[in-house]
Parts: sequence; C-alpha cells; structure tokens
Amino acid sequence: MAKKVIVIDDSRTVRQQVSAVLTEAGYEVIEASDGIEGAETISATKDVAMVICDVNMPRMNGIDMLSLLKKDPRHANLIVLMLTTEGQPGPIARAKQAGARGWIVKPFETHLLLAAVRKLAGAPV
Amino acid sequence: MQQSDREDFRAIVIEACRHVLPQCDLPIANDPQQLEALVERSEQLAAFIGFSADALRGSVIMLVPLELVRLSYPLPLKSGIEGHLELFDWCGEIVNRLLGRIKAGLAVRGVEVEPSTPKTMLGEQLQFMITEPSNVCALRFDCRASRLAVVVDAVSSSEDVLFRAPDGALTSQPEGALLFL
Repeated sequence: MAKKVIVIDDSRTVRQQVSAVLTEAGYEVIEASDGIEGAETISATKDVAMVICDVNMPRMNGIDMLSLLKKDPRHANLIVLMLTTEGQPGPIARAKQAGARGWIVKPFETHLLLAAVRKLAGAPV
Repeated sequence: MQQSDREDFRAIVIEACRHVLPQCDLPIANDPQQLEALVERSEQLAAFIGFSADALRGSVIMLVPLELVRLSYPLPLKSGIEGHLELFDWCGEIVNRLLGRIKAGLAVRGVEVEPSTPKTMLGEQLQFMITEPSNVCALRFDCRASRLAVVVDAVSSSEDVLFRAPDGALTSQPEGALLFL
C-alpha cells in the first residue's frame, strides 16, 4: 500500500503541482486547503506518512495548526515539512519549536521536494 | 512614510517584480514605467494581498490581462469554470509570492511584516486611483505583447524612518533550498 502524504495549501495550483510530483513517484496524496481542514484531515486519516504544509493560509496558519496537533499524543511523531513563500528566521524558528522537520521556500524544485519526502517519509511503499 | 523609506520600498518592489514574475512565466521588461492612472478595457484579473507590521500596513495589487495569466499557468488548464478558477488561484499565488519576496527585502531592513491571504477578482475596465501619500509605487511592465501593473500602497503610523541599513544576519532562506530542522 502506498504511503499517505497530506498536502495543505490554500492554493489549488500548488496543491496540484505537489500532488502531481508525489503521485507520479508512487505516494498517495490527500489534499486540504487551510489549517483547520488540514487538522481535521490529519485526525481523520490513518497511517499518515508525512504532511507538507503552507504557512500563510486563511482561518488557521500552518504553524498554529502544527502546534495544535502536537498537543495531541496521537500526533506527537507526525512528520511535517513546511512549503511556503516565507523564509525569515523568525517563522522558521517558530515552526521548528512547533515540531516541523523541514522547510522549503517556494518555488520548489521537483527533485528537491521529492528528495525531502523520501528522506522524511521513506520510499513510497 | 519618510521619503527615504518610500524610495527603499520602491526599490524592493521593483527587485521583487523582476525576480518573481519571470519565475512565474510572466517575462516582464526590465524597466517599469510609472503609472499615473489606470483604466484597462480588456478582461483583467486583479489580485490583492495585504500586509501589516508594527508601524506599517498596506497592500500589493497586481493587475494582469486574463490571457497573460492563462499563458503563464504552470499546469494543464481545465476547461470551463474550473479553468477560470484555476487562473484566479494562480494569480493569487503570484501576488502571494511577490509579497513573500517584498517581505524578505523588508526583513533585511528590520521591518517584519505579516501577510494576509490573497484575493482575486475579474473585471473589465478596472480603474485604480493612484493616491498620494499612501502610494509607494505604481509600476507598469511590458510583458509579451501586453502589459501588467503592480501597485503598492502603505501607510506608516510613525514619523520616524522605519528602514534600517540592510543587515545580512536577517537574510531569508534562499528559494527552493531544503532546510532540515
């Protein structure tokens, strides 16, 4: 069974770009469009291999979503990679403190994103 | 806003346009023209995003002919209304990236801004009033056989100079680079 990656971004274009790369590589991709929908999707999905998450989104941003999820012991080991236009030291430090494992500033190179997913989540099956 | 801040801000915006727009397949001419007033008759997408900081708030507006956005769309475009929604979304993502680059430029000068999320609207004969003193810059770039506009407004609640000399320690992570935390 393919590993599940949840992609959370308010831009459908970005979600589709990431999804196309990961699906082609053999991962199963589930999409969500903001922090609240992302948290609900993560909670409702069994065996999440990793999450790729934007920072600046409506309703709830990605770092707040991560902080919220990490309070729940079920998600203590959740692997999260932030994919965002933000690149300042402050948000990166906050994301690290909240438990993020990686950070990429958009736009992303396909091979780098895939390398990051393989390193953090392992092979697709 | 002090004149020196306004000039620095304008330079940051122009650099951001030159960097981000060609990356998004909007190959703009290098030198912008000053926009005095804007009335575009063709179908245009207007994308807006706001920002705020301790003593600064404002917005970035990008006005692009629908056809230019269509040509720049990075994925196979769906037909009908779905395709239109994809163009709206892509236009919002471009202005989001534009603000991301502007934000990095401001951060180096000691100003940390928080962005809002982008909104996009479609219209014909869209008109923007270029108003002093809030206008930082109103730029028109030639692009393909057409042109697009970027308008930045900002107001400061302080009479002081906000921008410090560039500080390399505040430089943002480079685009595309992977950082393990």
